[in-house]
Amino acid sequence: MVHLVTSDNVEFVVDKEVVERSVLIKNMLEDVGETDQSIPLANVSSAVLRKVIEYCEHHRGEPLPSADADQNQDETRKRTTDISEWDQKFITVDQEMLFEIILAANYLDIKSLLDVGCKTVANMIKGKTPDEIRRLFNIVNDFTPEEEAQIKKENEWAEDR
Amino acid sequence: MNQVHHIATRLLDFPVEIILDILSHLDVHDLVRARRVCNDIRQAIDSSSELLYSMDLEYFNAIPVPSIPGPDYSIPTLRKSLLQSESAWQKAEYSKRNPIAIPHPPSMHQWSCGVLGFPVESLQQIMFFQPQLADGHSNTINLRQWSCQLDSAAALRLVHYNFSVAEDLVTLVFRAPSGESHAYDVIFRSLSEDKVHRGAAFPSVKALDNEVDLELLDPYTLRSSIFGDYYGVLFRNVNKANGEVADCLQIWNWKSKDTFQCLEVFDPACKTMNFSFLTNERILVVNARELLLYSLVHAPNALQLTAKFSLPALHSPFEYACIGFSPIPSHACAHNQMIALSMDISGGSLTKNPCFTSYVERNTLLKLESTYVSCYGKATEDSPDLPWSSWGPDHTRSFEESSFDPCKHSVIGFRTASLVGNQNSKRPLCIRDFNPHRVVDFKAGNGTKRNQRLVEGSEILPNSSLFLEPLGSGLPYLETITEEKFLSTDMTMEVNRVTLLSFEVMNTIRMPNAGGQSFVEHELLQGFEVLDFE
Repeated sequence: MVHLVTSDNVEFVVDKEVVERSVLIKNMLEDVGETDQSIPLANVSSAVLRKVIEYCEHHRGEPLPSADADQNQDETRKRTTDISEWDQKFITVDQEMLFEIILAANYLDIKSLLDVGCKTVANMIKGKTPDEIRRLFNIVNDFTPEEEAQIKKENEWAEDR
Repeated sequence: MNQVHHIATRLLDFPVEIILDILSHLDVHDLVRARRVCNDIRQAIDSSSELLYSMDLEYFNAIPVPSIPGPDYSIPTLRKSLLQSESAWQKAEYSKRNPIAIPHPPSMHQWSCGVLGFPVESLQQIMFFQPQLADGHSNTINLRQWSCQLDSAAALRLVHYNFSVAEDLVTLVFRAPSGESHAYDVIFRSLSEDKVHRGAAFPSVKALDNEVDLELLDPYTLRSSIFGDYYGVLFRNVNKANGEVADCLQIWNWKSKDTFQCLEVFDPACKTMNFSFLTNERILVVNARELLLYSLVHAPNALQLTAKFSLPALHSPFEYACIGFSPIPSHACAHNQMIALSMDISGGSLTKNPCFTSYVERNTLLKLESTYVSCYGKATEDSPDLPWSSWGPDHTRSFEESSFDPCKHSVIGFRTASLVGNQNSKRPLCIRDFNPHRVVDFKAGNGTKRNQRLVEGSEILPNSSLFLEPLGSGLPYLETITEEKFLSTDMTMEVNRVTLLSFEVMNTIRMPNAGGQSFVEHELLQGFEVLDFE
């Protein structure tokens, strides 16, 4: 069993097999060997780690993607935003939690979870106008009117489908 | 207890790698909209060669170069060469290589991806020539030359051949030895090695089983096409044993052990003329009146008619004498591209057959299928055609030549090349770009205009009065014409290259003929002239 401590000081005790989906933790465990010492995760809150562990539990036993395989599959992975049914249900959370999960997956180096998160955000962007995207993510339009006109002109060819 | 101020994470707080990961899942249209959201996202996109390259590929409607073993290019390198090549085509700037002579005068020749093939009867072989840049940065062309050997008995029975660089395949059609119950044997050989193709399920297949009176077959009317795993042959004027005549289109999956094959029989009254694969799932067949779209999907061992489109109707007594398609390279079948439909017209008091070429986007034909179904339901042999007037004028662009000329209308992707003017004279190369994105940009005044000209709206063709209906005047295009002129009998076009079969008159001999008059014979020296746009 592995002991993890979150930023808000909550301890989780998890199967080694489950947390090893995180490449960060896997490497740590390989470095220190068997230990009862808890691993501090300063960047992850308990609410987020609970979700992350739920994800890792569900995908327990599935092969970890190797670095090579990832390279080859890169082209097919990109441009598709298919997400499995369970993952889709799992990632149906509010925007803040979604972003926290993405950051945690990035920090803990859980490639498949990062992928699910990024695809979900991509799906939110799909088909929306620039203005709708700004409203959705609370982004300020920081272009000058001249810049805006210039970019619109540059991208005119892609406007109609 | 300390009050922790919790500040929510925002999209733009993500490290740029995560933003790029998210953006990498978007298609180009979404990417372009995302680029207009704010500076941070625009800068993220503009910093990524991968994203910029995917946008460039879409913008230029680019057809990828067929995958050949060679240096593994990185994306920034690929992008750079794409942009350089596009700019070279727009400016009609090319590197011209020293021409190289061909040791045998070609006849019955064919092109595939810049390789010229032709049978040399006396040598009992099919020869292939490929002009290649010599090593180093010189302008010298080497001629790679190889052949496919035929044994002497078989050589006499060869009636048709075809080859594909992308599939590394040579197909040979032999008349079956007498006494056999089938008409032809089709052999699948490797193009690069002189032996049976490694991927072929069978070294040879039989064509037209038990159906024909062998004595009456006319092999010179064969049309064939190689497209990925499919090989198809159109046998015309096949005289069946029962005395009837028919045109037969037979298609094989030459890689499959399950002997996928299907045979479609056409009434000769329709004058079926040609066929072409549009995708792995659709075939276009043309007869003297209409285009027929067939599906290979619904019934795996038979073609299924899905839609019919009229060709422009001709005034009596004119008729279509010969119709051909520019082929779609199978490695590019995922991409939309132009198809050139060339139509020779005969009849009346015409001394020369004028040749009309109509361009249409491949995807237009695929989309018209659903238009057809919504108008007329499922297509059958008896159902009506979608009339030319409802699709042709707006979705095609027509050109006219006074007679058939192989130096016209080479196509790759949305770009076409033609020599302008009469054969036997030196003439400039005209590059036309039908890419609608480029046309939009040109109109918006983006980029330099260089020496390009926009052509849109209808243009009067000299013999358009032969037609009852208006010809196509849709599809605006950008045109560039080279200053240099070329003497050439044939040409082919690849993504970055135009290869001309050029000639030089070595000797002019005046020969007396039986009537006491004389005629002139030219002794020609033929060779390759290579123009690289890169």
